[in-house]
Amino acid sequence: MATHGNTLTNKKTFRKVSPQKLLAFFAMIALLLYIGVWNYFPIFYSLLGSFRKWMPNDNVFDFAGLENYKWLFSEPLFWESLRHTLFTTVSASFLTVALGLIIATIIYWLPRHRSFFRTSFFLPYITSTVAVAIVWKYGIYNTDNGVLNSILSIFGIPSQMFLLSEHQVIPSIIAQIVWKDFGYAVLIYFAGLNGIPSSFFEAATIDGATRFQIFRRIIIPLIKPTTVLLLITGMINYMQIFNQVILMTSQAGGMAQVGGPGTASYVIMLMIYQQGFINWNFGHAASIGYVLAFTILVFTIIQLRFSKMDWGY
Amino acid sequence: MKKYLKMLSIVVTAVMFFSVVAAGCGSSQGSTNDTKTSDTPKAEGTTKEEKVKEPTSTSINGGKDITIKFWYDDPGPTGYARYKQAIEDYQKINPNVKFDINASLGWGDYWQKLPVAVQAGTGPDIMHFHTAYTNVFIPTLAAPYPEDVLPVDKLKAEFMGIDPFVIDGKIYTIPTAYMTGAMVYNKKMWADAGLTDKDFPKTWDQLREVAKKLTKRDGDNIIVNGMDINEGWLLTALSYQKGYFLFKEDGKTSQMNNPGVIEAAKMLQDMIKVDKVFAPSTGAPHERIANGKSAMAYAWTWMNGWLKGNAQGKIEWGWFAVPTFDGAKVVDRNGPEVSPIVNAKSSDEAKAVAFDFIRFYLDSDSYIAELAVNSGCAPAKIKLVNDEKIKADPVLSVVAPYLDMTIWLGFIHNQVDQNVGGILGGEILTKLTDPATALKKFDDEAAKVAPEQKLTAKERMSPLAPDLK
Repeated sequence: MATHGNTLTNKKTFRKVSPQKLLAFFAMIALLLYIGVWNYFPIFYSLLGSFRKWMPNDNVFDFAGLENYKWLFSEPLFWESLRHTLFTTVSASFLTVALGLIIATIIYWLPRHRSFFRTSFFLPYITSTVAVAIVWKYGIYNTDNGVLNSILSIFGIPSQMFLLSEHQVIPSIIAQIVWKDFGYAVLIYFAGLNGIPSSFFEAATIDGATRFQIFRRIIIPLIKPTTVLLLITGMINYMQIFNQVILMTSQAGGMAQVGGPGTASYVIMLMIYQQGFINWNFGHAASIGYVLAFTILVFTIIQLRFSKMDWGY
Repeated sequence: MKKYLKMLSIVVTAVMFFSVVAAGCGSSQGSTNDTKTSDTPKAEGTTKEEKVKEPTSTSINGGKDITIKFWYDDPGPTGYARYKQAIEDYQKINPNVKFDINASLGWGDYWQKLPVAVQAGTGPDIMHFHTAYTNVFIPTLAAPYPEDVLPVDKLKAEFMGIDPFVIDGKIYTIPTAYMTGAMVYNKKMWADAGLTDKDFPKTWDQLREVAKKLTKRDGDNIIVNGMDINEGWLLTALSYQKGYFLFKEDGKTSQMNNPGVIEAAKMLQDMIKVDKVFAPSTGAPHERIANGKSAMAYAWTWMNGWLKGNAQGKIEWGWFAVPTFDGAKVVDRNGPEVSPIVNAKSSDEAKAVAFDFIRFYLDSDSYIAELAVNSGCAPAKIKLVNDEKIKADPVLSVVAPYLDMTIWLGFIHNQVDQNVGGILGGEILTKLTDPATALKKFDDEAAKVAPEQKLTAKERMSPLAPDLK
């Protein structure tokens, strides 16, 4: 057998096939199999299940047409939880992005110690969601001796109920989310700011622009792609909010008052969990999941269209 | 310097990576190859040296080695104490049988993981059970007790209340002990308020007055609740006290939106808004009692075991009877502790051993007595009803006089069970929603899941049923 470079050739019949191509081919097959089995199969099976009366405990998987979707759209709790989810998503996304941009810009303009501040703000992002939620619930929002109520008492403000108040529970959860996640936005924005040619800032400074004018007229327009990315990824994440709600509103580890008080903090993912793993109605859970996915898709398309618009700069 | 910083960052990254991997591994739930029992906490009251039969030539599983996976719900003393002695004794008698026991993280964790595991085929062979999950497990995920090992007639002769547990002629679990509601109170706070045993309230009006004395304030803030009012199940007790069933005749649709419950709910809301003896705060009622945040609460007697495990040495507590409205013929619900269920998906060999263990457990008076005392329950075993030691137990001596004035509700959909906390507790007692609106919502939500409910409420089978409407 003669060899030529990296290619093996056989005198008789075989085509020239490089080992790298063979490796790439089998790697692709393995990956396709993996994605097919663990990603696409569950997606399509659950889509199928959303049109069925699917009760796994009773081995029921009967065709039900649009019954699950009819149930969903006639269920008041769905609309209430959708409202809560959208409010949380819009608020958390906006606040995370806005705070992230402002802090990133301030850090960018610092003469020194930028790495220290960038790392400090990023640290909450890499801490465990579970640990953070529990610390906020029992340490910060505790109605008896929590940090916030202790601070409020110094100023003579009465103790607040936070997670036990139907009006304060969602803003309280949003505050915890923003605290944890805005560090990620800081990091991404900081990278974006480093991509803006410094000549723009120099020219603006020479022309007498203030820092605020530079921020508004140069940074915001030029950082638009980063903003769109953060808004889209934030929206996709926050539409699926679950851990924070279940951890911060549950009592003694049970599901009894999750999403409370009453249904004041009930969100879509909680409804999926409730239908799937409390009621064991997978058909209902699947239908909610697909409506949520469709909602996220619609909002993503809207944001992408919006991002292509001329912002007038 | 840069070289050292680079090395440091590599080391930190490696540590973080391996700690994430280690955290992700978690503790094993045991496998069928694991032949050791896990370490279990020393449970109160289980250190007695019982004479156990000498190991004989084993007939169970034909003498072949077998490991049985066993899950229970509560890591505290009362959780595993229910079974610890029985498991140890059974293994001594049958040395070829080994129990592989989970380390439960608690009620919430157990009931979230167990149905998923059983459904997926990775669940235990035998598991602690609660009737709130009957709709999930029975009849598809639990195996019926075989007649040759656990005959129905024998169980009926030895235990009370078997009839409602016979489902299509089969038994999947039976009551082993009964508990009900009572009032738990902090003895020191009681004495500090100038109260004695003579002041235990007999009526709800009397309780309101006592609660006002127990409440402590700092300005407008309540720092100690005179009466903890966060428990949605209290309203079900008050429905019975007012003379109303919880469910309609079909046993699936609730009727909580009735004049009696509306009046009772308004009373509880007045205690919050007018008497100001309670303010909702972080945590559950039993946690607030343990932390000294609440002086008194309505609770089921399982809380005695929980307090023993979590508040012993921190507070001194006692119990007295649930107050009633004048003329009440029914005081409260009761609820059974039940025998373990066997996984319908386990192998035939594992099921045979599991059922034999359950037979062994139920045949013993000492295990049932231990369960009763540890759980604050009255034993369901007829032979033990007049046991002097049990009757002398401080918790049981409180509830024994009215246990026969309590009703077992029966089987309800677990969504309804959740709604008791979410709607009755959350809407009425935390958000202070108008009771009629919230109770209508409760009934509407129960009606939605009624078609999915396989088993029904059994309250109308009670001898007290003629006193209710």
